[in-house]
Amino acid sequence: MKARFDELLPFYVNGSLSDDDRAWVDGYLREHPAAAAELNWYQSLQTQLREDVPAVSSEVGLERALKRIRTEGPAPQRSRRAAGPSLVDRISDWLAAVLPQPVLRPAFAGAVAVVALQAVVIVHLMGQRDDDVSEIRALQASVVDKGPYLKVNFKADAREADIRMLLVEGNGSLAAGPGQLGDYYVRVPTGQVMAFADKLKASGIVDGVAVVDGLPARP
Amino acid sequence: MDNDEVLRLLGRIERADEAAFRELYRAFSRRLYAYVLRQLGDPAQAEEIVADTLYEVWRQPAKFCGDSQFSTWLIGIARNKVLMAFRSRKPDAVHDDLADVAELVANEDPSAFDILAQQQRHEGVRHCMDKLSNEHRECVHLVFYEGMSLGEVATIQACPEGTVKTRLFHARQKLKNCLQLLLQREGGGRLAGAAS
Repeated sequence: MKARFDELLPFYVNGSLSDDDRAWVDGYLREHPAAAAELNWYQSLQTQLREDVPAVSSEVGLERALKRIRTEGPAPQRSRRAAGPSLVDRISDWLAAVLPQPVLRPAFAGAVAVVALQAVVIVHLMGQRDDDVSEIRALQASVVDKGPYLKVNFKADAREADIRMLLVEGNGSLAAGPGQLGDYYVRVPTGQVMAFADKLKASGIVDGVAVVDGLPARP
Repeated sequence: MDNDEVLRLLGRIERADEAAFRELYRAFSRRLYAYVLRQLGDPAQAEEIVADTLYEVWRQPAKFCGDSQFSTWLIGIARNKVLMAFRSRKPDAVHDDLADVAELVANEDPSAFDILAQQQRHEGVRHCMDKLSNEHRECVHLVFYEGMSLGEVATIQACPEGTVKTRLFHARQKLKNCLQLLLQREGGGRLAGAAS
């Protein structure tokens, strides 16, 4: 009994005992009046410890803490918030992480805004297909003209002037070429294709002639 | 300040509200300072640890969930910093004196408690608290100054509740004997007068 009394008494004095334990201590004190002296001592000890409060301001160390917050402290965590952080909060956090110096943040935010505006303009231009001079047209599929055409290969020693003269004599015009393999594609008036092909084959500057259905797709 | 108010302030601190931090700081700094000073006995070091402990609250306010008293949670943070400070100190033998004290006077007469209750003074209590080991002094502080329950003390000291009971028992014996010895010395052999 005494051992349990000794164990419970400190917590009886500081008021943290459960109701059952408190009732047990009350009963023990009634049965053992001399034990009240020990209770009195504990109560006196508690009073003196609590009265012996250091004579300091409630702001003890506050300036030191604030200095750390302003110089080295990272942004507080936000995990307690039920809803997720707003876009502005996330941008602020990101800026704080990227640029610890607050004075640089407005300039950096301005630069990011300019880049974002440029991106919007570019995307807008990509959507304008009716602009004939737009470079975006190059991304569209090539339109292949239908033939027939004559695919002509000239000899290596053929001169440009002789090639022109030959094409003019047959009412032909250059439609494409020369390609990487030296292929010229010649447009000929309807009904004269085979006749012009024979004329070309007979020329001394032509290496080969073939009738094709259309021009090759542009890369 | 109750936990509800603490949680409201922590919510504002999460939004980097410095005014909320100041309010929380003022509410708990002196209790924290009392604990750290009792353990270390060095005012400058105590101030530093109080500031560092509450700065941790600023950095991670969401870490406190409200499942314990905020002051208990704070002391847990401060305790780690106190232990770090202890490790950087040279060991001292001042606490060994109390083993001798315990042998010199062992008066279990109930009247001895009455005399102590009436005549002990702040200075004598502080002197004898300083003579206790770190664990015993901390245990007495948490129970009688902070008013913590057995479970809370065990949590703070990271030990079983039985260990807390044992520490309290030995701390009680040493404190009582130390205070009796002081009174005997000052009273010329009788329990009169107190260290002051």
